[in-house]
Amino acid sequence: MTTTLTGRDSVVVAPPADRAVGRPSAAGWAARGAVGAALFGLVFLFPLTRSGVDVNIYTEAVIYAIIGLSLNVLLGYAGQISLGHQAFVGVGAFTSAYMVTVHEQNFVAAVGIAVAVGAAQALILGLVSLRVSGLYFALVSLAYGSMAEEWLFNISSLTGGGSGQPAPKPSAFATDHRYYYLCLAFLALVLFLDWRLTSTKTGRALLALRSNPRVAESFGASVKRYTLLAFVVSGAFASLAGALLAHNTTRVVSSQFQFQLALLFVIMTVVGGLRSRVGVVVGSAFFSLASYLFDHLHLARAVGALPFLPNLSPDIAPLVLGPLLLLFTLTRHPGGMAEFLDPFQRWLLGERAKPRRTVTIDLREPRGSNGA
Amino acid sequence: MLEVRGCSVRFGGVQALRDVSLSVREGEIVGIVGPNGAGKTTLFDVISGFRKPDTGVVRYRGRDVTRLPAHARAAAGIGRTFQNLGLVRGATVRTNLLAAQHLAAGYSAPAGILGLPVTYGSEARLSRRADALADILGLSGLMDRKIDELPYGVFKRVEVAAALATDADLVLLDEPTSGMGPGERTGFAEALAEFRRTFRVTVAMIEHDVPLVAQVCDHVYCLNFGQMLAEGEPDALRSHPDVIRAYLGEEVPVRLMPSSEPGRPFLEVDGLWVTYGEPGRGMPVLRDLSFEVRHLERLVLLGLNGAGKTTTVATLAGLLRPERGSIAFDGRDITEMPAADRVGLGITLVPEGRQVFPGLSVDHNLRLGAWARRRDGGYVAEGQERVKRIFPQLADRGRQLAGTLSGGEQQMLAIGRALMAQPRLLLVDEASLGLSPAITQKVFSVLDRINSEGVTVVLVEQGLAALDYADRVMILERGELVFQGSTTETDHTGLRERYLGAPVPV
Repeated sequence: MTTTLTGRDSVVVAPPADRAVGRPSAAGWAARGAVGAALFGLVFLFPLTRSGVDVNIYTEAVIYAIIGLSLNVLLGYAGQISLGHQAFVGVGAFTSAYMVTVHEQNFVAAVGIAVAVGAAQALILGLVSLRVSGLYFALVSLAYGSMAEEWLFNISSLTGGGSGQPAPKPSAFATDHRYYYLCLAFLALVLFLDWRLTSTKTGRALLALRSNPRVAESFGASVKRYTLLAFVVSGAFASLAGALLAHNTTRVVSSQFQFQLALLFVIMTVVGGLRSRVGVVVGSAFFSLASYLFDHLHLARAVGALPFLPNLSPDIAPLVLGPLLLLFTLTRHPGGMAEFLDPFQRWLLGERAKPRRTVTIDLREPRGSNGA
Repeated sequence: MLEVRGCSVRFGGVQALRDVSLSVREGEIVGIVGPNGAGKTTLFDVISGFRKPDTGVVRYRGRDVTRLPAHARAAAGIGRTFQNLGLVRGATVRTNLLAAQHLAAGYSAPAGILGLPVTYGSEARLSRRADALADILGLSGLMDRKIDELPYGVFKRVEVAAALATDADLVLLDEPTSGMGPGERTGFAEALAEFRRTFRVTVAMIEHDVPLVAQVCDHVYCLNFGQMLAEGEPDALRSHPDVIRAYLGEEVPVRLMPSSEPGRPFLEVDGLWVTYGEPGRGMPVLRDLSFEVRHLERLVLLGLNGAGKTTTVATLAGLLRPERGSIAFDGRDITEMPAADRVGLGITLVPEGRQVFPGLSVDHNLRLGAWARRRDGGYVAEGQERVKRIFPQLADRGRQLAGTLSGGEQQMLAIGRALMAQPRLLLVDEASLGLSPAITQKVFSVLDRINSEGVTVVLVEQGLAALDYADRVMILERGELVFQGSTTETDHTGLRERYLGAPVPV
């Protein structure tokens, strides 16, 4: 598309060089069906064949996906960095455990209260972000994270101190397998809310705000209000994830929420692909499962044989792998895993690209002549 | 409809607006003109709520909105565009038109996130309205294109569509025709008149194209140095002596010296195209510009804001890459040469607005000018001596922080710093900006002396103050060379017509 605009009356906007995909053929549909069935089997049926110990780990991956989506709201939509996200998660975990154990609330009420408390603490941090921004806010969130870890999560009357707070699973979902499906249902709920967020005025307001706050204001969207809303939504999602995490491990201790977790959350969200639901979910699950996969696929031994990465234990695999993948993402594929997942997703859904036409626009007339 | 009364705004030591008043009546198209740095955009910021005035009142439909934040003013019906920034980058035309309808959504933000049934119907309605708007503006086929992919003229059109989508009653347009070609500008003028009819909007626009303003506006205000200089009917304003002076500067008695012998071609520019934004579809700033500068010549480049003057010298200095065309200096092709190497070759730029390092002393500023030879202590000391000989005002201020100097002294320091690199070609961008006529003349006479010491000088100016100190004049208009000739062939009346349009008998 080249145009000089020098005294011209019209411009021709050529279609971008894009794939012109037709309807998938019958074989195409069969292949999509097979891949779709395999994915369905992996998520819904495969865990049934595994032991409770393994499923517990898969459940954690599902919860990490919710955490990733929570951070995505802040980092991806609102453009705010949070290096204290483990505190957001921890607040939810301890609130829910406290409600169930100390106040003998039922699971639903406890999770509900955890979400409310999580949203409220995020709102407070959001108010801070309106005052300090960029690097300084990153530092504030980091300090908040360590304050939560060192002090807040060690107040024995609330958190049970060093021995932690018990958080039993709800009776209807007491087995690891059942609890896994419950968490999947919550992930589906969060995905739905996130989808509606991005397809309504909140998503567009945040988009405008990230592009240029003045533009958002000129469209009538209050930068303050929508930044705070993003914090609240992110805090609610994170606390939900925290509550689910607490009941998955059945006991929460403050050492579960160390700073390195916040780092991992940021890495998994960015490597997964900011602003892509599929990317964030896959990325988060991948990092959550990294140690497990290292263990089961005997990757650790293979990596350990490399001279430049000695003594890589599965536990720290995500934190070694993470920065490397992060570097790769930032330099080569800024869209993260989503760059590869999105085309795959489009293919799987049999989505057809709309035929792109050349458009001629008459610059002299407000009512331009459109068409082929 | 809109009334601004006695508004003043100060940024640090600069009085950006001083007791400015303006009023806009329902259905009018009002123009705001004035030279660079006059405070026009600041005035728009005050009206749209991005800046609170230190004193003064803004009333909209009789209501005092001075303290309302920007988004609340948008809700009250004041919409605005920004110079080339008024859209959501990286998003499609559809997303932009939907985002602009933020206030018309008809549901609360939480309702949208929770996916309540009411939101789906509202979204469908917003989408239909976006389609309808796109249809009126001839953008229908482009709804799913990213705005960054669009050619510049179409991009500007999306900007207007977004401003209309906000459903504003008063639309503030900030330089709507910048970067447009003549044909598009005519189209824009017609479109504006039609929007007023179709959408019943009232418009206030900042615009540098005074003839265009005269064509479309009912009433025009002229700002200069933050003050309202004049207001009135467009044609009357164009012949107002204060307005002419604001654009052209004080008339100085022209005492032309015989121009020096034209030297050999020193700088040759051929077919230069410079575009801001992505190649091929960004905003064209220089269009096929060709000229040459002869050795030891004093050339002055004139033109209004947005004509491409600064872009020209920045490209010569290597700060911008041309999309097409070539630059040769002293017989050598330097089109691809980085800026730092060009300094080594003898091309030095004194940037617009001086750009001295305010937190460093005068001496340190000068020393940084000799960066390429920073290890040669003798050279640096000698250079500093030389600069202080040329500018005695700087001699006893070596330790003073540059930020505390007056505007004129800062300009001298900026020139002095450039001299530290021992230039053979000195490019000076708007040396007179913000300086009183007397100081301006002093700066120019020093440049004249530098020229006589063997430096070729290219001056960029908006007004005529430099004419007396130049051999040759080039006039740029919208990125194109429209006139070049010796200073003797240029007269004030001709230039005035170029800037303000042909005078109309009142």
